[in-house]
Amino acid sequence: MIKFLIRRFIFLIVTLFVVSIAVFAISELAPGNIARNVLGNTITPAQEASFNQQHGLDDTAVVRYLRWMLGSDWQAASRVGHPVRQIEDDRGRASWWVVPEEASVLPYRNFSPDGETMYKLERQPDGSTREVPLGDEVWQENEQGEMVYWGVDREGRAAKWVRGAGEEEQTLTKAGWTSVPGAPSDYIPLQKGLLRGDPGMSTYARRPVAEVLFPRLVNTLYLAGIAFLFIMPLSLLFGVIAGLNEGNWIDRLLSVTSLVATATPEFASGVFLIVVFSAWLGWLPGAVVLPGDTSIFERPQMLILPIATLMLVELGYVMRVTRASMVEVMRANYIRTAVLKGLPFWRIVWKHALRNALMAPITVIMLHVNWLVGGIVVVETLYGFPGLGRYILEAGLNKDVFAIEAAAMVMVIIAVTTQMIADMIYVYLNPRIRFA
Amino acid sequence: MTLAKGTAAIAGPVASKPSRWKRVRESLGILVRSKTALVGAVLIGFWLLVALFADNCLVSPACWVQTACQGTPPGASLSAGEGGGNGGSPLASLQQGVCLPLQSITGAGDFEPTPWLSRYDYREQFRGEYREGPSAKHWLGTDSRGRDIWARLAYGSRPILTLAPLSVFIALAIGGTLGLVAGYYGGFIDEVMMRVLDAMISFPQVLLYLVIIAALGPSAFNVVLAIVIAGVPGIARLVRGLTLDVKTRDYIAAAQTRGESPWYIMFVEILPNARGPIIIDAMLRMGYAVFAIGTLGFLGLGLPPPSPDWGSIVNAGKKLILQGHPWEALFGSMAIAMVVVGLNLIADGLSEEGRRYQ
Repeated sequence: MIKFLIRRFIFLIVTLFVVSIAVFAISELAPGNIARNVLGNTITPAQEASFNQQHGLDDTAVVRYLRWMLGSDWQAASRVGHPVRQIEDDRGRASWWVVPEEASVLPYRNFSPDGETMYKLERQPDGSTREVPLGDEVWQENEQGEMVYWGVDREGRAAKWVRGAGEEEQTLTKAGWTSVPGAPSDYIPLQKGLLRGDPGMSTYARRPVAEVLFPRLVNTLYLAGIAFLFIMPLSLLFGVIAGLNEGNWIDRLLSVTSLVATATPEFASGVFLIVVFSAWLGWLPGAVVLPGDTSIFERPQMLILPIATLMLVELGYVMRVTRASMVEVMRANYIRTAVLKGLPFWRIVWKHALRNALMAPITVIMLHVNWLVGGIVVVETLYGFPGLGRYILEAGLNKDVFAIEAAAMVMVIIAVTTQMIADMIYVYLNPRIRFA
Repeated sequence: MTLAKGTAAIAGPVASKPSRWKRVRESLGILVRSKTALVGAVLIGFWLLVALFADNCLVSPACWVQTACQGTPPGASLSAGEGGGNGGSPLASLQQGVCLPLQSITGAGDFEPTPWLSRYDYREQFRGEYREGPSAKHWLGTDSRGRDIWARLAYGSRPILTLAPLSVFIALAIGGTLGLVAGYYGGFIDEVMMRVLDAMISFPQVLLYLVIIAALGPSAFNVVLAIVIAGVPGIARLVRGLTLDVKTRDYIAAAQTRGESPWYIMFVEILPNARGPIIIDAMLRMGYAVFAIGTLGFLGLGLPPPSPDWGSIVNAGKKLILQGHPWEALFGSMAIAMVVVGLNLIADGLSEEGRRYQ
């Protein structure tokens, strides 16, 4: 068992690694353009170049992948000469600062109004900042003969200023495009790296991926979990009933209904449900409209239709597997033996048939999680539910590479873990494997 | 028809060889005998008819040429879909060489098909008739741009009913070959292939679709590509399992003793004898493919806008449901549900009949 778990775990790590590279590579091949996605189609080449530079998009794919995986703060720290760390403000927002080892020196960031004089923004213990001009001696000559200074800029990126380079930074603010002189000529976007639990910044939303992804994931787990709680007992019950009545009208009715329910795509059954229960009967709200991403239980009646839609597809599928398995078991010789020896019918079903018949459906449910994930993307899009599925879709449509990567990692972990659980349940239920 | 050929493959060497017509009738008989399969066949048949006779394209050679030559520069009123794969220059010049003369002979460049079953052109916008419910003039109503919903559904059946079989066929060819090789040779090749396929299976399909379409852009080619990539691992596993079973039969040993090549044994001895489950699986997969094409369209990742793709129709209509105009989304969903349910019913009926034979 332990050997099996270890093998599975290694498989999970390898899969994650391969998937992360594959997703990155495919996104890289894409013709789309992140700068245009974020800023609109009307930007000038200079604005686009400045955007790409500021977000490190001008570096090669390999460099960006490694930074995402391993982090870039250590790289920046070696340039700056001091450690670069995240400091949380009183609202819990983390931002990057240069934090010198000596306790007497305050954490700081840098800026330069003209590209000639460097300034230091010292962070006071109370969170406010103070501007301190730096002398000419901070500029250091590099191999190309330029006078350079490495620091962290006001946006929290590691940056290299070159004296007298006359660089301009173009950014889109609420007031429109602004051009700031004295800008750095190279940037390293700071991140801790996936291996240290930081999935990076979303290039599209300009917020840390984890900050958005986590509440969305929790919402989806609630949605799927509730659906699952209903699917399991109902599908097993109906499946067993259909299997016991093999061939007669109850079986036919249940089988055909379940086939239609599984075969109908989620968006179609969802549309049917909305049209009937929301547009015509007016019993239930047909969309999930919430004040925030984290308050899904504010109006629970909004969750009924999404859960019902998810259930329809899964219910039918699991029911069919249960039925087939039940039919097979009821034809087995040991059941005939039990019948011939005169046991009451319910006792045969309860003691002899069920345990064997439920083995297949339980493993199938677990293996079907990938399918459930697909259904969740559709259901969340249809009802506007703030969950992981819609997050993935939005990330995909916006070419938000780090967000897709993070979502892919989460989904692969869920998929492989449930497969592992399915294997374990199977081993537990099947003594022929357990004792072999 | 596949079934009929299959029957021929086993019935072949047996002494009494039934006539071709009888064999066709026998395999069609399965469809008719099983009520489930029959209902499925009727559902699919309806949409096949609509797809074939939506307009008079099927009976006019000019239209064939026009459809086949869609990518070539002159003519081609329909947009060919961006990045549809006509990038290679030798291919393009070949296309031009064949298409241009054909176009001038048949006058295909400016051919406008006349709507038959669809009643209207799917692009025609009726002024002042926006978001109407079903009526005698517009059987299923109109959408928010005044286009006839039935016409759009009728034309929309074409991409669905061509792309789904196409993608399943390609996936079968690739997955089947992989499965045969893995199952027949076994050992190291098998181990490596199966591990890779396992990894592919644990990758959620929707994510795969999303990444592929988001990266390569929505087009018919990319939709097929996505479905093929998603389908290959499952088919390969199935075929591998069947191969492992068939491999142990005596006639395989006989073929090996005869000195037949491995490829002959795989494709001529093993494959035809494993066809039953493969055909049923292909039917189911066709259902999944329609399911997937519809879902992609619904998510906004399907065929590019002018195309009347069913999923996109539902996507466009979903915002209008709660504004008192459920028709677009409702009928679009019904159309897709009909086709997927139909294919599933056929697969179900076939497997039921297959079990009865054994």
